[in-house]
Amino acid sequence: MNSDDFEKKLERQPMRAVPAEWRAEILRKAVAAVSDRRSLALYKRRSETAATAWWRDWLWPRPLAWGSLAAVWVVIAALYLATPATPALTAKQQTPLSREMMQCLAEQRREMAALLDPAGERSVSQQPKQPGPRTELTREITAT
Amino acid sequence: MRNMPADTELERLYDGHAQALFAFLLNFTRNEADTRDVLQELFLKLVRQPALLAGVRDERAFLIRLAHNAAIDLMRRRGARQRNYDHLAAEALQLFELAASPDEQAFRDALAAALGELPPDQRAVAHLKLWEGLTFEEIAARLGIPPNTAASRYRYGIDKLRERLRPIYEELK
Repeated sequence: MNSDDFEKKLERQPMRAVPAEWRAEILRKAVAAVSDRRSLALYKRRSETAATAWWRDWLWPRPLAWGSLAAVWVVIAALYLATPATPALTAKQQTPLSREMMQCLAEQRREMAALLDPAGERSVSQQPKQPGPRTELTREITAT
Repeated sequence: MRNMPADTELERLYDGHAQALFAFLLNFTRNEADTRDVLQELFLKLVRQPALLAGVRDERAFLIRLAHNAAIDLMRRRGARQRNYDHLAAEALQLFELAASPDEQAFRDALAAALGELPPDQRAVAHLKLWEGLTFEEIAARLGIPPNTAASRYRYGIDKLRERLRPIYEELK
């Protein structure tokens, strides 16, 4: 079997023709897809226009009323911003006392305590007695 | 090519290339409904992406490549479930024009069946070589494969066809 002859015979076999009715349908669907996209874009544009038109129709007949309302809101906002902050907030915002100030306050407290109760000064300055070694404790017990 | 395929531009593309695309897709997919779907998808794509053909020198080559990719995507989407059904459908596929003589018709039927037994890769290359008259370089460019691969796929494919069709070919000679 000659290879060239065989391939030539295959080449001569005519492929089936594309069905004639496909042309109209394929092209129609393709064109419809474009039309749909155009329609969608047009619809979106129209919707946006309609929305802005609604706002305009609603606001436009009473410009004085809407303007007054807006002015009231501006005054409220200005008053709110001009009002000083609340004391609680101010206390929170303060910085903590410095170490020197704390020492000064403690000193004043001691002096006040000394003036009011001289015996109390000793108790303030005296440190509580720490327990000694066990040998000392034994010595104390035997001494008593 | 123009940016926007207008109606007349689409008609020109269809009239110029639909027959070749149809034959390629029918041979590749072995299914008339799939061929129609892919062809429709192709023209929708052309319409939705008007710049697709801008700067393309060889429209036919570009469209064959698009069709090939779309057909592969479709076959992958369908998966293994449809394969048995496709096999049955392929046996009744009319790939060629009806012949005047019964002998010639028998050969065409046998050829259609033999093509159906080839792997799709070999079938695509054989189709482009035999019925589009392309060189291996051109086939390689259309299918996105190296020219050597195109050549070897063709050789394997044509050898199988020759083996399969030898009895009827010898008889008709």
